[in-house]
Amino acid sequence: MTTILPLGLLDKAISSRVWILMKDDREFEGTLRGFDDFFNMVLENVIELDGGKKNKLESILLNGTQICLIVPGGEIS
Amino acid sequence: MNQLPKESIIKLQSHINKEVVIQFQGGRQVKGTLLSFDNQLNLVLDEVRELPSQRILGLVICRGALINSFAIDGMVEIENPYI
Repeated sequence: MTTILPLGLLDKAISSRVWILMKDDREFEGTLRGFDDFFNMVLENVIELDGGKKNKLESILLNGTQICLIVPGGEIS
Repeated sequence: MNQLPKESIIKLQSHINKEVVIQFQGGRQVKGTLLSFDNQLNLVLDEVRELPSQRILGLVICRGALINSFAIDGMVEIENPYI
């Protein structure tokens, strides 16, 4: 039985929507274009949820140091 | 000092497919089934619920860098022993 590694699962999620929960109360949902070993991510068509306020961003580089959880194929709920 | 072996001292292999409760820096807590892990303690968890809100997250990747602790076999709340 093949188990999938965390970075492998993230690689599979490239080009699809991901939902990211940060260490604090912020969340991001966007299309994953790429990532690196430090979990820095390039996201497109992003919705940022920051303390109840939603912002739309076209294209961002998200700093991996604050990323806590990643839900592939997920959306902000 | 002799070269220490470069193996992790945490043996997560025995906890695969078990339910764990993970606490993160910043206060987040989640409960889920451990599917896999890597050397940096990044995890893949399934059927994840965020605690205490019980929000369902599903299949999730957890960043090892922000993990504070893991509880295996659940946690039981006790009275504050320090008062």
